Amino acid sequence: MMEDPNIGFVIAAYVVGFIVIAVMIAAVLIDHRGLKHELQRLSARSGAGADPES
Amino acid sequence: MLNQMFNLANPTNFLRLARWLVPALGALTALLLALGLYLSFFVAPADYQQGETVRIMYLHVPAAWLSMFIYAVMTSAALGTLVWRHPLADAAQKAAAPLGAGFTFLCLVTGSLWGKPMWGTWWVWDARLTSVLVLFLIYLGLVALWQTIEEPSRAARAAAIFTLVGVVNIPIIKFSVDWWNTLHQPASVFRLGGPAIAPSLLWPLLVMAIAFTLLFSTLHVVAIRNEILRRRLGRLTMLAAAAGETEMSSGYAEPAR
Repeated sequence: MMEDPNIGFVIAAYVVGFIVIAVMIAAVLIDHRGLKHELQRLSARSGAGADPES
Repeated sequence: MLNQMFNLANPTNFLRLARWLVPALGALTALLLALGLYLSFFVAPADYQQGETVRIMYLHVPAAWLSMFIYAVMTSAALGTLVWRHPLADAAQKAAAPLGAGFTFLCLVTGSLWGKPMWGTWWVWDARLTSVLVLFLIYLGLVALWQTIEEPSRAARAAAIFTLVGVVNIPIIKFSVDWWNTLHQPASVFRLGGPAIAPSLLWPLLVMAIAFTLLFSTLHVVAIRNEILRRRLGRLTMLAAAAGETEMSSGYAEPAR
């Protein structure tokens, strides 16, 4: 496999694939964590203390 | 079915469903992605003409299918917003646009990385490549639209109309290889007369396509959940601000420290 003259293109494609997918996963998870944190902060301030996801 | 859909329209029901659906879908995605990568690299043979470069297909084709599938999801969400006024339709549409942009970008880049060794060029302005580039720009336009219009219901209607106008590009992408003389090869999996590629290459491709679809589904559910939380946060912030104003006007405001 590694002796193929075009293997660099294959590796580059999978590296880009990994990065794009990792960025999409990280973006939704970081957004979720930030929103949950902010909702908990607001709930604590108002004294409600409920789980923001229920 | 319609009843179930409207049950899910309740954000609380959706959040309850997401609680177990996200880990289940995530685990299934990881499993199928691992299996798909194993099949693509260690089971599928190199192509007699393309050599190892054929392995780019296992990323490129699922990303291309998803770029159109996500637009179809967004089109049904746009109809849900404009026709049925489904309360979660605009959240579903907003959540899908960046994911659609991501998969379309992946399709374009992997296509380019395949094109250089196979066609001798990174890019040609042929009908298939150009229409996919237009799809990518439509996704970016939709993301920008959501960011630009502050009022959510106005943004949802504008994005829904934009999405319905842009759907004309989907059949153009699909049939561009039949309607015009393109450098891009015609359909080789979904075509009359059955797939034109050998089963040893087809199976890994189908597993990767299912894995990518599950990956999108998982990310979409998480992103819709984020939109519900964002709305809740907006509502609570407004309530807190209103309460602060009432306290201020009645003289009960806590002095600033």
